[in-house]
Amino acid sequence: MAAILEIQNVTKTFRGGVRAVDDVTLAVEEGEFLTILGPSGCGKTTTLRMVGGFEYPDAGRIVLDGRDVTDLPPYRRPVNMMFQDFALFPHLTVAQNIGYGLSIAGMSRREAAREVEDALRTIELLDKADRRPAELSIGQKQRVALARALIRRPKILLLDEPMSALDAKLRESMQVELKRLHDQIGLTFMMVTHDQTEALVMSDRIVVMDVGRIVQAGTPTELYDRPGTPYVANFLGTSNMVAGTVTEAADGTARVSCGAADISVALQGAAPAVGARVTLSIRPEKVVLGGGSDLPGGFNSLSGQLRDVFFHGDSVRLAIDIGAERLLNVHRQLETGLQQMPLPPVGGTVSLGFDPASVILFTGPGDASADDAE
Amino acid sequence: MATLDRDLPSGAVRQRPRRRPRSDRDLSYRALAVVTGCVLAFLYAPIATLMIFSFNDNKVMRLPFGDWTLQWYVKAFTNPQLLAAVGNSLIVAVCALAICLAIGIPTALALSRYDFPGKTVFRRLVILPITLPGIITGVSMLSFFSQLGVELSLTTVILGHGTAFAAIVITSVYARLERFDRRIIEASADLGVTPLRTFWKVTLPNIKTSIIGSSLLVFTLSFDEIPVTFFLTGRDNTLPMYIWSAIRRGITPEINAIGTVIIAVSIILIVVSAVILIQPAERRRER
Repeated sequence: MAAILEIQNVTKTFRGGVRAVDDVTLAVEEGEFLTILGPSGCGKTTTLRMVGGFEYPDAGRIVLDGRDVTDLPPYRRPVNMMFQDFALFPHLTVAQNIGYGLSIAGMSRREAAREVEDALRTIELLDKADRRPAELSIGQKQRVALARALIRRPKILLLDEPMSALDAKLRESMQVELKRLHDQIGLTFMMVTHDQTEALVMSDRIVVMDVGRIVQAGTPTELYDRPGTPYVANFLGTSNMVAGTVTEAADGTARVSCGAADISVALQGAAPAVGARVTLSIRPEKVVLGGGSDLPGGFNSLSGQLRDVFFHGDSVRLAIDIGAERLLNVHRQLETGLQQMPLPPVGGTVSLGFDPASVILFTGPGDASADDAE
Repeated sequence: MATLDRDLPSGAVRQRPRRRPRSDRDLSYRALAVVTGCVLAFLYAPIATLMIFSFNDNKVMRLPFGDWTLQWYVKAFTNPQLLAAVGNSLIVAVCALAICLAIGIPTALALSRYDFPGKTVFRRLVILPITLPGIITGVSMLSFFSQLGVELSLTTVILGHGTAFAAIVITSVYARLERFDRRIIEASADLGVTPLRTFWKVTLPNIKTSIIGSSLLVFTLSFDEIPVTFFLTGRDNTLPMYIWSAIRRGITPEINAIGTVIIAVSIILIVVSAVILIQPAERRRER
């Protein structure tokens, strides 16, 4: 597959000296669903707006389908954007909103009307054709915005925080719908979001950004299971970040002393120096409860004091103190009720264990308190 | 119960709020009606007097009321001086309005859309003339024109009104622009529409009501403006100037008649504009 969009060494500094995007290079493959993920102010929206033509980069090039579009205004670019809060034209009807981009495209009136009607049928709003946007529900508005952006058959559909206006239920169903739409029409989607769940569910590939730079890019599973930095580990899903010191490192495993606990780690990359200060990332759902023979062979076996139990309905999150100010969050899916779970009272001792291969080791004390998703 | 009683002082017995007896309520409604009537009378009694006397065949405005007549209207509409003054006033109002729109709309767009050095100072300066008393604007423009050696005429009156009232269009359109979602401009560009067409297809329809509203205001203010006109007019008289000079010889029923016509036209204008402005919203609601 060829890259349909290449962002080459793009930098954008806003007045006041804020460097929103700092030397970003990124290639988007034709037909993929790419998501730029990051907290607000990380430069993700600015990057998307530069692709759309609403901001011009100070340095670098943007090449769309083999053509340099860096200096083209938005109305000359073959991409369309679905705006945050949709930006529907309040003075036009639903049908006029959808057909807006066609009236300019040199299409005959009858042809345009038929296209609009097809689009209305697809989004199941044929009966609302003559309504104004103000009379629609949020979900309907979103479908109109989507139809309006797609009707010109753009080379890339840009989505700026498309779900931010929706409530949790609608958001979930829209995620599925958008993903299905992407698979159906095979168009390249480029989305920006701060919501890690959205990114994980929908994307073929995720690009994590922070302070104007790309931190890591990869498939959702790559990023989740092999985060390259503590920042990514924390931003995608939740992670227990445990500080410690390396006591042994050989044969692809390392032992790390974390206060009262000794944890072995299956190494992915180069072995750290003995005595180095490191940060371990342990996913809450990778930790199992139980000790000794309950655990598969080779597992780390720890014990700690149960501090808190947070009930989430279908799951439970336990906060377990493993000594020396280190708190492990443990996630358990509840197959049976919470009552049936063999748990000591809060303050009691629990045994737990986890696979050394599920632990990620970051050299350096790290910043265990990296920003969480909003 | 605990929460219900929380706001009561301890020991207080909870009671249902006593409903006022019906006659009591009637009394307060009647009092309200009287007050409302007084306010309306205060606002409209003078105008009503003028309208009534325009149909009275007494030569002077005095009771008792004589016979009904339309002769003052006939007189007014056959008085060439008065008709010329009305014509002049219309010309001035229309031209001043054109100047205000030509200056006001682009200025409002610039203020709302672009950041430029000195923007705050510029905004204050363009809005300042509206806060100046007309007499100051009049005197200063008079000395300005006489320095330049420009002869006073309707043109200078038009320029004077243009300066005095442009700020009305600017503030009104600017306020509307600040309220509308700028992303719809971007959405239009995104859909392949050039900035100029975007202005016609998106910006203008969304600021239309503020333009019509401020136009009506400017037109009316210009039509009956005296202080600026007083200093800047040459041989031609506008209607308020004509009335003012005619009144020095006493209020004639003819002036009552022309006043009534102006009021009638104003009401029609207001109703028409209200219909234009409100109808789209109403139509939407009906569906």
